[in-house]
Amino acid sequence: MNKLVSFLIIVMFLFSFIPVNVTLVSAQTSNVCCLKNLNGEYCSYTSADNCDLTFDTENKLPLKQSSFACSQVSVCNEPICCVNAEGTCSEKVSRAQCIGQGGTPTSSNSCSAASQCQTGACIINGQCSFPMTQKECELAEEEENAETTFDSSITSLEQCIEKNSLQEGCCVVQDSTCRRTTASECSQISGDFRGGTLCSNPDLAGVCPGIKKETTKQCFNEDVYLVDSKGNKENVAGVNYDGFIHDSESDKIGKVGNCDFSFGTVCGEDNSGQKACIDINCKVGDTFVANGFVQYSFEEGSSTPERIAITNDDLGEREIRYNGESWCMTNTGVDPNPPGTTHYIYSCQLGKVEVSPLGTFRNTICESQIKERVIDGNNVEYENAVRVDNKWDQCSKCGDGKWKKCGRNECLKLGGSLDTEKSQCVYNTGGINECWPKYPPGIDFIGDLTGIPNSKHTFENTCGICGKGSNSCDRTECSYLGDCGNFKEGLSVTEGVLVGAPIGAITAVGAYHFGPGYIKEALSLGFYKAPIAAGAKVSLEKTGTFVAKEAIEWFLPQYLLGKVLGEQGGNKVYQKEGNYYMTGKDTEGNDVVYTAEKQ
Amino acid sequence: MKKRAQVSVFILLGIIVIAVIGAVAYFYGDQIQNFTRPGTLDASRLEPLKSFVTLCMEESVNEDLINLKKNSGYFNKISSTVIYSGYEINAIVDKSSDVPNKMNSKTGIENEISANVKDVVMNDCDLSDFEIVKGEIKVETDIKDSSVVVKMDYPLVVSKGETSLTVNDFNVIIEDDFGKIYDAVNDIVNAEVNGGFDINEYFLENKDVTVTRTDADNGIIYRIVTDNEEDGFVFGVKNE
Repeated sequence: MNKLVSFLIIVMFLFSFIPVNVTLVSAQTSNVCCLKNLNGEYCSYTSADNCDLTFDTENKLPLKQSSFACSQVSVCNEPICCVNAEGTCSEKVSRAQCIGQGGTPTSSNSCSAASQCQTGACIINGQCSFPMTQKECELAEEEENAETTFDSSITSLEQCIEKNSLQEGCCVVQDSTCRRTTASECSQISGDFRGGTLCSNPDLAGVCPGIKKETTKQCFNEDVYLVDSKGNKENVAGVNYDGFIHDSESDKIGKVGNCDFSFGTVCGEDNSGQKACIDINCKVGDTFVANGFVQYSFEEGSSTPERIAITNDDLGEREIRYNGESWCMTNTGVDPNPPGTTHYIYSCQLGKVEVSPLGTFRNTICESQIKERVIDGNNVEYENAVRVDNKWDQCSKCGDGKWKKCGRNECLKLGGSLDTEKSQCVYNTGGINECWPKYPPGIDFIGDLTGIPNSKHTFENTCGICGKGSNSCDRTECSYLGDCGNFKEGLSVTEGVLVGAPIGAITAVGAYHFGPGYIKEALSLGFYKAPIAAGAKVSLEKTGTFVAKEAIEWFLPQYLLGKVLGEQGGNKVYQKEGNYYMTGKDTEGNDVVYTAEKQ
Repeated sequence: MKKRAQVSVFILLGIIVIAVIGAVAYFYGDQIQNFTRPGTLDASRLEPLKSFVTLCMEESVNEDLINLKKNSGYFNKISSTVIYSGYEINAIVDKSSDVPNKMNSKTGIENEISANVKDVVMNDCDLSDFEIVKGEIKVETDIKDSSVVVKMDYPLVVSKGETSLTVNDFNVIIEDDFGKIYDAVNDIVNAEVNGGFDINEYFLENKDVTVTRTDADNGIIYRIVTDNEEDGFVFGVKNE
């Protein structure tokens, strides 16, 4: 019995655990393996409510949660090497995390075996970055919008810098050939690079035999450099020799070979034929060899290049023109340009005065601007000339607009600027209000063999419009309009007075006596009044008869003459404050207002 | 005479009135015009709105960066932790797991920051003071070595009268060495999951970051700082 009781107690004790276990099991079954939970953690065994089901929108993973433990889920339990979206590699990551974060799982579980994870140097715009994967390098190229090179053979940043550096030095190759190169160039020819060292350095005498220092001078860029016996560039002339390269700006400053283009000096041959910093500005009295000009000496029987001396005229009445400066010149120097005038752009180019003609007929002309510029620490006037189209044909359009009258602003504007200095049209202030080209166009009177003129200006479209607007064409206008030939001025002022005055007097007398009334009025300075119209008598039945007496000046509306008393035969009679007025026609048929009298 | 004097007074008064009106028009003309002119908008009026939204973004990103550094690249606690002085530190290397590398990828973090900025701007950034119509929001985050760049495309249309203006580009650049630190963490994690990390060798190769390491109850704690980031990034490595 006791045994039975004991057995039952044990059985009950054991069964008492059953509900607890059932509870545990049910709790466990509600947990799942979330491939990503709401905390952003991958492969965590937690409540299904905590699973983030919104990730992996492209459904690259086979599932987003599993009722099995994460250690049973392959995308969670197999460590892989992941190439992250940004190109870096992560070791032993779950496939779920790798894909969930936009990465690419590699086939190997170790990144050291994955080719995508091999690091090397990424050279971005000549700058070394190490270590980087090829993908990182490609992404850098996209991001920086720069040219990149990936070099997987590089094992350190120093090696990358050395291989790709622009540092100069002596490159010693196996056959004891030594030449000055960059580290990068030396690396390409598998040389032994001695950074910062000149090939003539006595320390290299063993590997670079027979190289003598500073034997000649040569131009490199704008500076004068000394060159060793093998033609290797050394230091700028004037730098003390110590066997090493001194090429920084601070090393070169103030040295005799340190030319400065912006200050007007550059490496070239001086008068003795030696390389030196030569002045490239153009100054009065300087000479230069003009290309294509030679002087033949009959005595010596040979030609020598002709040296041309710069004059004040060449420089446009200046003592100096700076290198690169340009200015306008004409072969006549007269305004308005007479026939045969050609515009030129003169410029100072490396100490020479260069001349560029702008063609015949002045189809294009020269315009220049002067600006202040700092050269060698001084404020100087610097001129810049350009070729522009001649807008001669625009000027004659002045007055074609709505107002039919050529105004100053319209004229200047047609010439390109309201500034009289800049406009290509000249506004004639002589009272005739005309707009003329500042640079008269040339006319091709001869034409080519086909008879077609080479100039777009013809006699008709230039000279033919002389006098437009005023109907008078004088010498000035004629000259401004173009190559219109010799202008026949006509009579002088005195001649004009002597001839014109009698003619004018006779005409005036004739006009007074035989001309219409308004001429009489004009000639009598207003004292003449038109005669009263014949039959200017108006009879109004009730108010009486009115007779026109004297014409009065009247330009206001008729209703201001007062109250209308009546009308007869087109003549109206008005009354205002005891005065009478009558409208009608005078002897010439013009509208006239008369005073009237009541009879 | 009397009549004349009166006229002079009125003339004087008239001149004074005209002078006063002229002076007011001269000095306050613009203000009067603005007051009387029907409503118009110019870009300068959107500046307060732009500043306000940008400030919301900055606050969100700064808070995120603090959380990320504190929680080892996550925003909250994760299941793997190591205990140090009673504190639980996220273990982004769990050597007891088949897949020990738990580190959040940089792209993953960028996406999280973008999502948070989007959430903050849409829900927490109170734009009720502005009469606007909101468009679709897109946020992109780029973690660079020493800065975090957040670009947001969020068309906000402000209307007044018959005119309306749209402001949609909001950019924030936070100076922070998070990217530089992240790269160091990635190196350490990759080394730890493959056996161990040589702190001395790393120090010699990477002078930009300072790595310190200490033992915890069930693993190791790493802390990475830079000259500009004194608090730095903390993470744990949990033992097997």
